[in-house]
Amino acid sequence: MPPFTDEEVVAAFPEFHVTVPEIGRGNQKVVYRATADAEIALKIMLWDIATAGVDDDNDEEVDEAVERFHREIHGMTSVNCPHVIRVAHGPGTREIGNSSHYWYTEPFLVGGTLKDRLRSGPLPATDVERIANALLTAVQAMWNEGRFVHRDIKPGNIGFLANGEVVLIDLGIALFTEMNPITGSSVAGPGTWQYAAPEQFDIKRLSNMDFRTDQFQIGIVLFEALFGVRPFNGYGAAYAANLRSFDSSLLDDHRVTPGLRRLIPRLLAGSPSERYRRIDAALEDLNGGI
Amino acid sequence: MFFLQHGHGKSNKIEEVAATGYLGGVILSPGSEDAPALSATVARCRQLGTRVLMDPQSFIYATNPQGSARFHERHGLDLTDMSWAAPASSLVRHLRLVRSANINVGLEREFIAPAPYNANLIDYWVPTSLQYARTAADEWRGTSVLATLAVDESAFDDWARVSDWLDALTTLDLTGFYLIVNRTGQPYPPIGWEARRLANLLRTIYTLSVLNEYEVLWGYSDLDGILGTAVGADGVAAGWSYGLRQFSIRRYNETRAGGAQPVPRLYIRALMSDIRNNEINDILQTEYGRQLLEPELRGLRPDTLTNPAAQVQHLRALATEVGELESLVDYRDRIDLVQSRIGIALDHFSRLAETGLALEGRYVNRLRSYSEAIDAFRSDVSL
Repeated sequence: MPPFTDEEVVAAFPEFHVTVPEIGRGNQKVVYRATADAEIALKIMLWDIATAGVDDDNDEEVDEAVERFHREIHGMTSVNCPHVIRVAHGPGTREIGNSSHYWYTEPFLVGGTLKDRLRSGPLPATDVERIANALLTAVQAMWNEGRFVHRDIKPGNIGFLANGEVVLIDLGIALFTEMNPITGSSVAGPGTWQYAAPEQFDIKRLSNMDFRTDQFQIGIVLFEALFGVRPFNGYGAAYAANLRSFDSSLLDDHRVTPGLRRLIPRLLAGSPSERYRRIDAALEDLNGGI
Repeated sequence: MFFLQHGHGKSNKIEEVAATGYLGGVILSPGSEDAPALSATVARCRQLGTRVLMDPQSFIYATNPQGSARFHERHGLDLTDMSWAAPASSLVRHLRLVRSANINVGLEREFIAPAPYNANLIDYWVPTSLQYARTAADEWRGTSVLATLAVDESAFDDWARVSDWLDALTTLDLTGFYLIVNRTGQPYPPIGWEARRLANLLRTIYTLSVLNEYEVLWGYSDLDGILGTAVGADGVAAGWSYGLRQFSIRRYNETRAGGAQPVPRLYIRALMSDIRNNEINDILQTEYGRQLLEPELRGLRPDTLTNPAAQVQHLRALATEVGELESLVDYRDRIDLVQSRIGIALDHFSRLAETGLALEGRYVNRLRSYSEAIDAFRSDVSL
């Protein structure tokens, strides 16, 4: 049970028209649809600030959740890219009922997520190319401006705004390479294993993850958007091994444009060194014509 | 581009090779000559409009026993405290010494960074090498920096390890890499590579140059550089003496006691091989063999061939091979051409054998290893 009621939320945010009940809830956040000058998603941390991060006896999990929240906000505010979700209002703290909570808003995904769209089947190649351009641009911005890796690019984290723009959402497990690791955030383990890159399954001896890890995840997403299925099969160690040998003949299909035919095998290369060192080169491959 | 791997000695070899129109640059060895000599070479190269780089040869200080180079001290290259356990200040000091040595001979815009020798890709010297490269990129910001990759050939046996290494190398923000691969103990011409090893080396060059857009300069590559150029190397190098046509780390640990005068060899384009002078004499005796030689070689009297003349012929021919190959913009076309030429060369050797000529087996073995390595490379990168 959340530490507040829907009515207490409506009362706590008089500047917005908050629609109840909530539209989503995770372990750490609850989300309400709301309206200000445009449709927004109001996100409220479930933890009471009064007990989070101030007490030595407090649960480590709470401290970590609070740190993640701050980093997610940091990510959203440090990158100026139309394809990375931005904070619309906040962040701030607000008394809600008898407790105090972090909150912020972001644009509401009027067009839903890619996961929603894929429920009705694969997308036309032109739509996939548009998504590819947006995701590559987002990854470039996250790395160049914020020095972080999203690590959890999947259809459920790709949304469509009211103006049709594709945006990458949920920076909750992003790896910030220039910050101290928080518990669990620097481990190699993937966010969502079905979309993870091979290096997320093992500890690299000489290097850490970088933006090339996000490229692999984009590769899986684009393949799934084209064909309705993911490109790799199997479970456990066998699955992780399969990730190192993408069969590019799977793209020999009339639905695949020359740009995507060039792009996807590079994104899905087993080693980061065989992916793109410059996102501009990926965009050139994608948009370079026949 | 073809680079001359400069040792010591004064002659007009640089001008002779430059006259082909295919000399891309000269790589200086501070261990072989003092600063005034190198400065003079730099000035000559500038007059020719040729690029000049200095290999700091730092790798010799990361071997056990530690190597030595006669003129390093005179260049101020005191790198003897190179250690995987050295503090960061020592590493920065080495970079400053190398930069000073460059500037002292008139090289101010592009630098080859120092690095230790990597006998394999798993010991503590590997992260040290990466640290040198990363620090050089930072310390020398605003200039062109090539990181040294001085590696033993056996390091290329296991692609999984090479791949891990490349994942780390490709995080470096610098112009490119100066790659030298140790082939200790090889005669000249060297015996053929183990094909898998060479295929992995070619894939390394391809990954760094074609996929990651770094400049790759493969030092001491000699004839192997033709394959390197095909898979994307921007520069390959060879020197006039046989010791400058392959990299051997052991060379810096040896006390030289002289030795027999090297046998002159000429590069025969149709055979893609450096053939010994007495064998050329035999080839000239056959009608089929005479047709294989370039017109300017058909009137040759091999018994009068001198080493300096043979060296110039080799370097000019190799520079031309590399330059002509580079006229093909697409690396796939280059690979096709080189593979085709290797096949034709092997066929020529078969035909020569049918005439009763017994040539050194190393020529054919080397070409076969090239052929197998290219096949493996093509398969590895789905070409």
